[in-house]
Amino acid sequence: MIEAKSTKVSETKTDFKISWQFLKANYKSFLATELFAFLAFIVVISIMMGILVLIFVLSPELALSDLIPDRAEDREITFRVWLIIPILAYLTMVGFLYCQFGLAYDIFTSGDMFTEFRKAFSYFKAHWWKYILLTFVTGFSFFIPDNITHVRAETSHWSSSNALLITFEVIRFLIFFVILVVFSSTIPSVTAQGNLKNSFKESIRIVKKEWKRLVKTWGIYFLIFIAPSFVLSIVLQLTYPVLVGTAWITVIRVIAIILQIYKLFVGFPMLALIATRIYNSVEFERFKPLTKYENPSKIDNEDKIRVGSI
Amino acid sequence: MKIKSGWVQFRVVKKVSQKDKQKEEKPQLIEEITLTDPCAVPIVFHEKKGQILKLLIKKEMTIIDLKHATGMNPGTIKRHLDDLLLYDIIRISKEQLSEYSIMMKYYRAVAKRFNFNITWSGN
Repeated sequence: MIEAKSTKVSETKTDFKISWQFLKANYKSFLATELFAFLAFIVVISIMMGILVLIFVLSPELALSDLIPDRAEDREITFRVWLIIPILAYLTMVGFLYCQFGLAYDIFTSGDMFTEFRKAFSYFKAHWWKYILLTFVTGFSFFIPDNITHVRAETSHWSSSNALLITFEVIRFLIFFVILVVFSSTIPSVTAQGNLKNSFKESIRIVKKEWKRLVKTWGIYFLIFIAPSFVLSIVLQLTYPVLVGTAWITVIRVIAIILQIYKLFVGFPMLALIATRIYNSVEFERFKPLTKYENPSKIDNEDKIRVGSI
Repeated sequence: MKIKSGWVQFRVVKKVSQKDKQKEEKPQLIEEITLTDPCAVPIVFHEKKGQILKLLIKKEMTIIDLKHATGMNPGTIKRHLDDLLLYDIIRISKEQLSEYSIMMKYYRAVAKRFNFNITWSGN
């Protein structure tokens, strides 16, 4: 019993150790993918805005009031339509960010134990719509910023809204944890076998088989990467009436930005590596890949290279 | 069996797949081989590729092992290895899962010595 317990602890420790070493060795590829994702976000917004401006310029019958109506009700409808632009840009960005799971998969399964930035495009091409769909299940809590940036002067006194916000944060934190434990393997699974439906089945199988390890590993992950910004958010909510008007607010906001960068640039690649390692190391009944062309890693290994024999 | 793989030691799992067994049964290294493709000449005599080839004649290595032995970038090594594989100068000697469920691919030269038999005719 004791032996089994220590094995689980060491598995969690190994998950972090191996993932951290691979992140250090491949940080350029992960960083480049993230920067490219942000660039894609800006490019999509620029293109969409450019198209709108072009329509506006080429259509003389359109007036400025058509883009930003005078009536408040019309304006609301227009803004909802305009919201499509950032949503599209966001989904493109997240699609690229999720390609880090492809990079992680490449490290663990290609046999060469390293990856390159250009591989992200292969995975994006193969799985982009699946990654975007999985964002709705696994990613929203990760990418939505904490309430630190939303605390305003109106909440400078204690009110029921403060308590509500804190409750909302705690619930969000717990829901995200449960989602991560249950569905963290869906993305490595979709990268490995290509079928979205089967990825959920495999994820559930992994939970049934190794739920203790998942809870421990993702629990520690939460303490390291998610909890700091969460705690800071709560602290700010509680101390805002006292700190309002002082330099401390600026200090806390700067710390919050640093924590968000840390979460995104270190936490997210670690999430990809840990999830992929768990998916690869757990023994369970796996689905066969749809075709070998679903997996860019296989294309590289089997088609481009001839295994030497003379 | 412990294998030093640069910054981390991966122990190879004893459980070997059928595919791996077949690969292991192949002869490790032949004495010499004659290459007839003229395109293989610049590949073998390329400074970095030659350096990699020398190491792979001595023993089978992974890209990470080669990285530590040569100081080259893994991506660069990979491209050199792809060229060497293309002309059958090296081969993938085995693919094994480490105890941490990491696939490890080993490369090995096909021969200890390479001869060239190239004929050029203007006709």
